[in-house]
Amino acid sequence: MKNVFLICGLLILISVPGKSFAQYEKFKALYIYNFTKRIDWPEEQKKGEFIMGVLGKGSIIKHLEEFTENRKVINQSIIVRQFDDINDTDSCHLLFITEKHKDKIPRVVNQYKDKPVLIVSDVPGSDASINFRETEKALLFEINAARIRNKNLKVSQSLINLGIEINNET
Amino acid sequence: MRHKYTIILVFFVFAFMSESFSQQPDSVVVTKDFTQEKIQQMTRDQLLELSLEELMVLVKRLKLSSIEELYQMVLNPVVKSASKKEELSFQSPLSVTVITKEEISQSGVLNIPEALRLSPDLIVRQKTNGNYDVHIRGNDNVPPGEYLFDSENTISLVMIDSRPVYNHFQGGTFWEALPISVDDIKKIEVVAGPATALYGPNAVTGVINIITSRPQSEKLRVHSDLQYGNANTQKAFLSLEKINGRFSTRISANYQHRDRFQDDYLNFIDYEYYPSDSLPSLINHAEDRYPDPMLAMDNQGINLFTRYDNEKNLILDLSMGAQNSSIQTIYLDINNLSLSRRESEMQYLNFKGKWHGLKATVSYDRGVQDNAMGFYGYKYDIGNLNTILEYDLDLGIFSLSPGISYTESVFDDTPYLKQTDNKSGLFNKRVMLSNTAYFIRSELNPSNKLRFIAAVRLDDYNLPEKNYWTYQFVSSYTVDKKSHLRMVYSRANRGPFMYDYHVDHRSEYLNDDGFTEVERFIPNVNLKLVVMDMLEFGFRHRLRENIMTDFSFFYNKANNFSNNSTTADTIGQTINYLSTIKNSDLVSRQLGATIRFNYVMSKKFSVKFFATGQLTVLENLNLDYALGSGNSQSVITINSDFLHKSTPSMYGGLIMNYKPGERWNMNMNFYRYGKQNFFSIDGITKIESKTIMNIKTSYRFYKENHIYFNARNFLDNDSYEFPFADKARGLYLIGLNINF
Repeated sequence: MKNVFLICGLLILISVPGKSFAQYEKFKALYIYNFTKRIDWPEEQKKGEFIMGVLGKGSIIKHLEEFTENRKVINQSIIVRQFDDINDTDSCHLLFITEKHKDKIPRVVNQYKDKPVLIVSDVPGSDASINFRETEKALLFEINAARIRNKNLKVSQSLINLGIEINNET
Repeated sequence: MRHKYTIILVFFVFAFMSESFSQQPDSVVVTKDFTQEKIQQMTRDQLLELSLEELMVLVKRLKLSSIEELYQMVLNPVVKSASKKEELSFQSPLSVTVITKEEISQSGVLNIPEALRLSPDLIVRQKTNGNYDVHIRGNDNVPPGEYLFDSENTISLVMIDSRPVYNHFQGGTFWEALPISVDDIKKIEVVAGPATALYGPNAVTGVINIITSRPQSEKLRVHSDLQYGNANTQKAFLSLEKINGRFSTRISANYQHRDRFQDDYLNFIDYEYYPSDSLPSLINHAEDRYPDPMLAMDNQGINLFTRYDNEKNLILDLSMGAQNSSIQTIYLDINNLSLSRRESEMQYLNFKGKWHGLKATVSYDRGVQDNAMGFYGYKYDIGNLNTILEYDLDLGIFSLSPGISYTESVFDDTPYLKQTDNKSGLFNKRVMLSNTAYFIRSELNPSNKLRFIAAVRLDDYNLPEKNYWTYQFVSSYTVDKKSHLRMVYSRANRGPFMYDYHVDHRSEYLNDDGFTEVERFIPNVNLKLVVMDMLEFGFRHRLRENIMTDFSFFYNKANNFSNNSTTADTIGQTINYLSTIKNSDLVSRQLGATIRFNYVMSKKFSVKFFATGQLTVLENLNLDYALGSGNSQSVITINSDFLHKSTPSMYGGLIMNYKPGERWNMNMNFYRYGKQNFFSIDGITKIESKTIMNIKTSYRFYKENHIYFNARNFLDNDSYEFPFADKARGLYLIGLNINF
């Protein structure tokens, strides 16, 4: 009996994974919701539901659902959808790409180059319109205002000022 | 009893639920005062109200505060018990330790005495599964050569929210009879050294102040903890809490059951262990005295904590609760067997009020206790009243806190006696001990760095008639932000107890030689109380931002110890034994040092190490024994000085906590004490040195909900920790912690 407990204990100890859980997913969801308040979509996009897509999986989906429940972008109800395939994402107003899908960012950016889809990624320095950048002391975001404007989206100056402006493509 | 608790609990669940539906979200302004805890408790609606600018500030605050708060929590927590006012432990003028809620939870301790193994200066030894002997710094088993009953720690004061919880029968703490669970605790503050001048009698070797949690959220919060393991160990806890404006309420219920690790009993006749099924052939009334031989403990309690705080100058705090408990442990030597069963059923009420500088405390507890189930005369009703009125006068660099207190303890064993006029019980009537005390504490701060404290107290007891003065003189100097020096001289005394001042007992029986033996035990109303004087020097140094060290060097001298004195007189065919308790000339001198080292390597890893070394010499020891057999030894010592080896010369602990991510937490803690020679009426019993390793690994599977594996004495080191006790074995548990 004694040995069984010892083995169980040791198994539990060695099975502990080393990877840290992303603790700021909740705040990223809140940031994303706040982005929608400072970006204006074209009139033709202001009909029906406002689709927030997430390419990939993770707790951010749960947090987005929690924070957007019964909330609206102007008059549009918000729907959160999860995708694994970029070909399914064309109904989105906003598409968040998780770090696991960073390889797909160039393709997504190219696919929606001139379309009013705000691309937000969890990968600092990527080609998305907005990238989260987490540091020891803060949760920041990079913003490419020119690229957002090219999508026929209007971005408020206050949002640009809060972010770290990047201009790797105009 | 359990049904009664269930009904009360259900009532409060509904009360809470109905309140929670009517709550509206409040607006929030992010300030730098936002703590990690406060941020994590923000509701969805509160978070959604924040602008992006505010959110970014909030995240910065969260990131910054998490490491700052960790340093604060581990290295420099707030403490109140050393000065009766809140201060950072770095600046505390006494040797003080804080065991936090987080440390209790992470370490996996199952009850309060086990939690005390997380603190320096404490000697904690298990008697039976879950039942412990606890001493601060030592002076245990003094005077030696007496009954096991006399080894109880009667010279340390334990309080719950400043309410003394020692038993008035003979002193000491019935740990199982405390109504709260470890899950109720916000923190435990341990002050080592005499502190009667601040807290009253019994704070001789120190004070253990257990501070309970109060609600932190306006949202209904539910906490529960369930554990199950070997030795039929079951632990359950449930609490609900909520703030409603200026009122806050918390209700909790706890249950713990443990079996012994063995079913045999030590027999003092031949010092052999006998299986429980042989008890009827060994002792009378075996089924009445040992109805459940495997039982180690079966405890349950329910508590209600309410508070009104007008956030200006008025705080009213009321707590109440009830408990019942049954344990088998070593306590009374009235038996051939080393264990006896103790039962308690107690209720309490504790009120604390603060208005400007005026503070009032009124607590009352009542109930019934049976110190040795199945033995005639050890069951009694109890009523304890404790009142304190004090005033804090702040005059800038000088502050003054005068106060007055009145305590009264009443015992009545007559409802449980068949006859009282033959003095067959212990008290045979309603007996009372009372104490009126006057005290004043003054503090002078001539500069931010220098601090002088003087506290004096006069206790006027109804018994003994002599008044007792106690005092505490402290000076401390904060050298710089990293170093702090302190020096303390203090005097404290033990309080009077029923056993010493009110036992009035007579028994008579016919011996094998045809003689009538009459045993008479009479009280000694002139018995002097144990007094201790202590001198201590201490030094705290923050080596780096994340490393705190503390060194204390102490010397104390105690006297007025007492022991049983019996004379025999034969008249014709009758032998008359007359017993009472008398003071001895024994003087105990102790010299020791404690070191603490706390290191927060990162958010993920922290270490605490502490150790105490001590030497105790007993002077004027006057023993005359030639006793013992089995595992005991013969001892003859007459009027000599004696190196006291009942207190281990070294003891301490190591606590390591590793949090690899947000989901896992691993805690490994060790407690170690050196070898001891326990010297009782049965001779010397050797207790070998022991290292106890504990592990708790928990996994957060959803929000704030955890599953965990908890191992107490992981390596199953089964050596005895207390003389004539049960083997202390490993305990392996699976637990579930649900919070929402």
